[in-house]
Amino acid sequence: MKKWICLLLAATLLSLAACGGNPAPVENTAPPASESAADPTPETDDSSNSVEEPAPPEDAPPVEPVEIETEDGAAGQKGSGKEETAAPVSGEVPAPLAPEAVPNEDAQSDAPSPAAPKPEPENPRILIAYFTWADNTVVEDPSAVDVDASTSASVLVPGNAAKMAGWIQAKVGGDLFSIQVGEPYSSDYDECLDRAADEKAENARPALTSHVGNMEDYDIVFLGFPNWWYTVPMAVLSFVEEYDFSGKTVVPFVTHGTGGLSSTIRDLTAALPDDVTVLEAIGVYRPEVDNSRSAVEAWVDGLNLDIG
Amino acid sequence: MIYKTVVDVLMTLALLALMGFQFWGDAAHEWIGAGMFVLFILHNALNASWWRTLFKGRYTPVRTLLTAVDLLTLLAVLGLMVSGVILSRRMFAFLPIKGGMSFGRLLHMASSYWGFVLMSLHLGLHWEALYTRIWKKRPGKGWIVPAALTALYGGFAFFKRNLPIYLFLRTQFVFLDFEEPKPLFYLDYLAMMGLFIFLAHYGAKRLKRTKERPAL
Repeated sequence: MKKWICLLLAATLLSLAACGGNPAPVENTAPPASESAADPTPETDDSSNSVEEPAPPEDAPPVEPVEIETEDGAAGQKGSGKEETAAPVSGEVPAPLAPEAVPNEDAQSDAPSPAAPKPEPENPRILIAYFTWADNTVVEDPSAVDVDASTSASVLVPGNAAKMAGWIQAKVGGDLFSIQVGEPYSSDYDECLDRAADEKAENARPALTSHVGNMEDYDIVFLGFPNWWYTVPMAVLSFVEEYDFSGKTVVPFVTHGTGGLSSTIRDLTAALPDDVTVLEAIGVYRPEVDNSRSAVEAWVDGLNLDIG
Repeated sequence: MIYKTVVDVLMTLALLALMGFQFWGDAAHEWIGAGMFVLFILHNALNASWWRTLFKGRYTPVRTLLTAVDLLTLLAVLGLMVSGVILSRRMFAFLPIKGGMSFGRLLHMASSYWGFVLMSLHLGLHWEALYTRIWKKRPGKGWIVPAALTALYGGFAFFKRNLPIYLFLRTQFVFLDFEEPKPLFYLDYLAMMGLFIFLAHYGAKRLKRTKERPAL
């Protein structure tokens, strides 16, 4: 008799677990009504106009896509000197006016725009958007960063996703775009982890300060980001939900600390319209990013993109 | 003691649910984890005699083994509690804990896999008691073949799923396959549990026998 009671209890618990578990994945995409009200992160709202630069200000003429290529040498580019220029990418102007990337009007390209128009005409238009910690934090003293610690190196520009974005651009062309939040993340690993975990738990959508003005012009969007807590940084979802991705092809590239792609692609796909084609992603182990150029290029080749 | 059995069975099921973190979502993981904590307290209360007699009586080799595994399990549970509270975003979010995330993460990772191994060993060492409590008879001899086969596959799964790497923190993050079918995952985890139950159960039996032999 008693053993039947046990079995019954066991079955109950199992089904409870199943019920308790199922809503969770849904929560990722469509937050329950009770939570969604609080979603647009109250904390980011009040500071959306914060004037802090997300990255060390670079006054040099920023739009110089070629410089990305100078950075190819890849291997040990960890010193702090060169990177400042090697990141034409980071839209360092939080002001709402600048970041509109309008490749049609090349006249505008002298404005520090995060999406640097590439001169070559491409058949399908390609955007290479990426979210990287380095462009979303403030490092008080870059020279004080211990570049040997793999987590610390991530805060120096160009960030890991930015490096990969540069290689992709060198290969297929297209425009670079750095996704940037209004309120930078802490450059302290623990604090950044903490906030990222909170944002994931709240299914938050951090407000962005950089915007793509002509998303409708792009057919293929490469989308790069780190694996944060086994999923995409919530800011990437802010970005994805800001535009109409219908009919586009999305190609994710991910940096991770050994966790692999985890749930990133699944959660990203869930946030995109159904008619988006999500191509096979590449995941690169963070400490190996600097040496991953050939792997990234091989991956791009393997995608068989239909480009001129 | 029906309650003992109920609590033990629930703890086993909760352990399996917790190990399959990627299938049930963060929120469920927190709730089941907190539930496990409550069950842990009940389990200790229902087996309070273990605490009362901890420093009493003679320590035979078998009892030493049992107590060592129990204490190590306790250590893993404490690690899971502390790190679970640090990582918690829901249940324990009200606590003014800031930071410690990277430490909490690694502690949680190591203690969860150690916890899984140790709890399975613990289950194996008390296998006969639990079996007898449920089925009112001792496990028959015929079990050894299926048990050994399960253990064999469990050993294979143990390496296939990189458990040694997680146990000894040879990596920073667990590789979680969110797309894997649940039955495949749980087949492996049940088999690994079977491996440690097998090792503990038959190991303790053998220890008892070798100890008795010289006395004969």
